[in-house]
Amino acid sequence: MNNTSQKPLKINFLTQNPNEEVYYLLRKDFITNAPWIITLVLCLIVPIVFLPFGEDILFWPTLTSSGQITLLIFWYLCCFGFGLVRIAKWYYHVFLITDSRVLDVDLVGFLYRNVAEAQLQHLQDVTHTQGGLLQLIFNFGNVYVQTAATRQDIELLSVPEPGIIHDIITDLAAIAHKNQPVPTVNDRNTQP
Amino acid sequence: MIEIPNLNQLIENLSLGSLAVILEKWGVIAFSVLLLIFSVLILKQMTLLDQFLPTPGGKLLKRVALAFTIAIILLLLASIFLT
Repeated sequence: MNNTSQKPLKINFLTQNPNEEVYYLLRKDFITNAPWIITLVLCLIVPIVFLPFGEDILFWPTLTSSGQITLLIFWYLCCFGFGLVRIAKWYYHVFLITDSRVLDVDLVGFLYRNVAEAQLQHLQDVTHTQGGLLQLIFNFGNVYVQTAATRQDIELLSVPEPGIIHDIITDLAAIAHKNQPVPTVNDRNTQP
Repeated sequence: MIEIPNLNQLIENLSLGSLAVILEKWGVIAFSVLLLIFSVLILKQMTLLDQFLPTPGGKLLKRVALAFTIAIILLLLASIFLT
């Protein structure tokens, strides 16, 4: 799972227009998963720590042996489900930069999906912020894409290398404003 | 008068211990059903997301979600028939 992949030729999405090319697929920096991974590890070791003292736990001795095993299986299934949901939320919270628009696919609470997009021609202002200890150490931050006043703004939160992303979006927006054909990534790389 | 077979015996045998076992079994079944609903919703959302943005990682996550659902179905069946 690459956090940032340049020019992912094999990536397509459902609402992709004909001849539309995906330039960048961005996700939140993987380090943003640290809090839930630590929580998950703590949840996994809770039974290992507390089972030797099972006699002292209020309800544990009242359960039958099969009930105790079932409860343990349930505990680990719940932990697995929690981890699955959190990794899927990270994996599918993507920002797509194509040659004509910017898309923000967001999962809120996993069962609610929010897809926001802005045409590069309608972009008015792009800013990025990077602050705090973790963001400085791991080089990630937020990029805010502002569109016309009545339109929804797009926030690329906790993306790696926000300065470069900022530069890419402003360059693409400038080209779109001029209605020029957008250069490929290879062309960008060969420019001085 | 209609006689219900073994009803008197059932009432005589009914104690707090046996009630706890019955409650434990139905508690496990109820929790399994809730977990199953949750896993099916996850699987459905994964399928929709994989349709929106098909990637190898997304397909892997969908398979894992399917395995999670199957595991819960097996647990539900085990809790119904084996306890």
